[in-house]
Amino acid sequence: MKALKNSFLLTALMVVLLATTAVLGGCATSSSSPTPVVNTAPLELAVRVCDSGTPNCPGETKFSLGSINDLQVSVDWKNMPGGTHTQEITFLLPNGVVYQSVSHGFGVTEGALGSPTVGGAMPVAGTYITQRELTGQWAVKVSLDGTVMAMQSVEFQP
Amino acid sequence: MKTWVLCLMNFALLLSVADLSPAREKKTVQKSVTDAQTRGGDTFVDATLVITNFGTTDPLTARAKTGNEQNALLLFDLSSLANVGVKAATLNLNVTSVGHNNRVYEAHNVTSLWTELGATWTNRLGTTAWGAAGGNYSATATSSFTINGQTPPFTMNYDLTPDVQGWYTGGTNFGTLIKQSSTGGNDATGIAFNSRENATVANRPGLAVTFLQQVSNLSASAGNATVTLNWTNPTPLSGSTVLESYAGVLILRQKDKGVSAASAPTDGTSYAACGTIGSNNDVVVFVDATSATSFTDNGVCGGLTNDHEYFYKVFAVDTAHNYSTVCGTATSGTGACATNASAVAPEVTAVPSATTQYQAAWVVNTLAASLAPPGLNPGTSIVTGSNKLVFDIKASTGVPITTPVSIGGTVSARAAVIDAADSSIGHDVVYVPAQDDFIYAINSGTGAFDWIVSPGSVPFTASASVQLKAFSSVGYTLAQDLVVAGTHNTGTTNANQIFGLNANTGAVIWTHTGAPGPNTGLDITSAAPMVDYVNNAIWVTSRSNGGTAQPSLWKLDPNTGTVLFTANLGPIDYGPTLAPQSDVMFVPVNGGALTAIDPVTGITLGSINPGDGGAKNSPAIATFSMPYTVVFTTNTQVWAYRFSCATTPCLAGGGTFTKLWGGTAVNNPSAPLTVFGINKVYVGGGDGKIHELDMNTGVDGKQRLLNTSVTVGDVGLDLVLNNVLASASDGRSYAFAIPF
Repeated sequence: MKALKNSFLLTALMVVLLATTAVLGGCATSSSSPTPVVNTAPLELAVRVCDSGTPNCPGETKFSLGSINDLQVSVDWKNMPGGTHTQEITFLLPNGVVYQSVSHGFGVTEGALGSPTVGGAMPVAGTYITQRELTGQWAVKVSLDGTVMAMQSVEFQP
Repeated sequence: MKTWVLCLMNFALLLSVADLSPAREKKTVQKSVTDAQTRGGDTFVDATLVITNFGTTDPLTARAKTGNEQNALLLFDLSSLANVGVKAATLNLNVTSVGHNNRVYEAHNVTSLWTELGATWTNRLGTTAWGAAGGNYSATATSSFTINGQTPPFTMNYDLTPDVQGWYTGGTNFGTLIKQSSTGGNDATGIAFNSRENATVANRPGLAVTFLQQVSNLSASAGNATVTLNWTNPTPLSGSTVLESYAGVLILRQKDKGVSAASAPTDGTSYAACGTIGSNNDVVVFVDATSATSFTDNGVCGGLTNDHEYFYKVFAVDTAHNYSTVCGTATSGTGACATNASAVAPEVTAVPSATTQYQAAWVVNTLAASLAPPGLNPGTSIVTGSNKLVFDIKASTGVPITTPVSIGGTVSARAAVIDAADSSIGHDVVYVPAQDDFIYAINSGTGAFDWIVSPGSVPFTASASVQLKAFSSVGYTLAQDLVVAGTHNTGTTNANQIFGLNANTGAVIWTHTGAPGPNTGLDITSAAPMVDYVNNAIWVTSRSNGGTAQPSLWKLDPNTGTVLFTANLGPIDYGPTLAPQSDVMFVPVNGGALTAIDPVTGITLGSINPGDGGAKNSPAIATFSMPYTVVFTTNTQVWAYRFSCATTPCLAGGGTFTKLWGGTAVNNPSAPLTVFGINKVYVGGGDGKIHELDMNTGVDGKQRLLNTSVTVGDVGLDLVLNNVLASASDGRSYAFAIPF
């Protein structure tokens, strides 16, 4: 349910961002830009964050450093245009500084709209996150092909 | 009049926007006799020959949007431009043949690591597949070029400014992919252009970069309500075309926090002192056009308050008011600034005081904060891993020796840095396990990969350790150094792995894999293995499925990986520390006791738990022989105990811990660090400081503030230059002179 809500909330953002991308993306040099392919269905996504050990991840927002393994992020896309794409998940510390990011390239059949689920994980157990108790409100930023598509807050608790 | 002056002091003035002169230097990066492009490469991948590599081919081809596609891949080694602010970058390709007219060929930023001799349509590194066959790249073309009646040979060029600027501001440089656009008709013939293997240098791919160099040797000296900065102005690089003269510098200052990486003076604009730049309100405290090499801040723009920290960032500026930021110049056509546009500019901190002034020896912004501690080759270089970047910086100044090396995964632990004199590979080398399942061996002189290996397709979060052939006893029978690393696979609590790799080639010499059972299950490993040269053994700590039913301390034979001994001590995330005589090993169990182990027999000699949440972090040892002074931390305190033994050898349970001092309060302490003879203990805190404790009394007598409200990672000591080093959660690495 939470994931579905996220999906609705993010759809409007996606439309705006994609429109912006269409206008600003690409820098023609000695040629004219190719005509962009128009997708009538808006790109949607739902972000689910769980401990990597959670089966059928329903989406959570609070995690205990005493028990978490890895922070697993799953992004369910809808209406993804055909072609090659790169999703990047960036994990930001409570002070807004990048802790780390993880990228995944994936493909969707040309000429079709896809619904891939693309994931990424941040190791937590045993790392400096637990050793130095980097608790507080972290942020998970999801980017697609260099454009920020969603931000979600997660809390690490002692 | 007074109002007019105030206006001048509070707002940056636009004085010369009409001056549209280009930036100062321009250089084409291209393989040649003077530039080996060691870290560069080019190839193409073919959808009809999916496992064939074309890394030595000339020319390269790009063709077809469907069916029999070929995509070209190009990567430039930018290490000759290590300390610059990039203004523009253009890729130039010498086209030797074309197919159909009116076909568009696009340049895309590649988003995964590949190698020239490893990339195929299917794979990017040996047997590691692309996420999408044909290459992982940003779907949005950076720029495009239309074939429109040109007669080969001709130059096809792409404006790659945004991509190259991203590579200098925290992004990974995996190069550029050229492909036919999905719009327009198919071109089964495609285009061909020369590769870097072409005999004529001018025909090879070239990346023309327009830039300003940074100042170098930036240093600060704090006084009583004053801070003096000194630096060296840049001189033109060999092989560059000088477009404008350097004029001087602009200096930004911030109090009690860093100058924002987004605070960038605007090209084409001149500024007056005491204006501010950016939402962080960083203050312009010095504007110079006389090639000055020093500035004393003794009260400009509001003065300095003693015992507060001041950050300074110094930008080189040319006569056209272009700054050494990562922003397009007014004339480039891409005038926007990259995210973190000023992160590349040198920065330093100082704390003026009437009594206890001090300054950082250097500060480096790595733009990410995994808290991976710096690895060091004392007196020479500091290697700090971060978010998919490995920085190699000069130990004395903090100036990058080369551009950061882009790798496929985050580095979350200290890099193993080995000096050429000690390494079997024969040059300075860095071994870095990463979270993308790979272990990287990097030539720290060039930044080129010696090898890249994924021994188990599982991630690494801990450091690797290296058993050096040169230091080993005759019991070590391998012909070269051994790299040892353990896995972080949370998908299993008993089948993690420890790998022993040939340090010269990356070949797997042995693998130990845990298995279900009371004495065999191997949970995740989080700390660097320890090399025991005297006993010719490798020690590894691990978690233990939450209890003591499976081992958490492992002793392995370095020649074979055979398990020689295990102990069920309870979960361990920290590395063991071996005493200088290799007669005792101290092991901190998570939230439990610091345990003394006989490294020969494995028996427990004694243990101590002073409370405060139990042992935390690896301990340090301050004495050369028994009795040992052991320093360790708990949740909020630092302790020193003397460990002694009534008999030689020490018998089971025969060791005694006697408290010397503690607990000295330090907010969220890191692992302590001391060595025999310095009589100090250094600890990073959760309060933004490195604490210097007196070894005899434990008194936290002096501190060095890195940045307020940050967590300071594990420290390192460069005893050649007498610096203490640490990374912090603000994404910076710092060095301070010791003793404080």
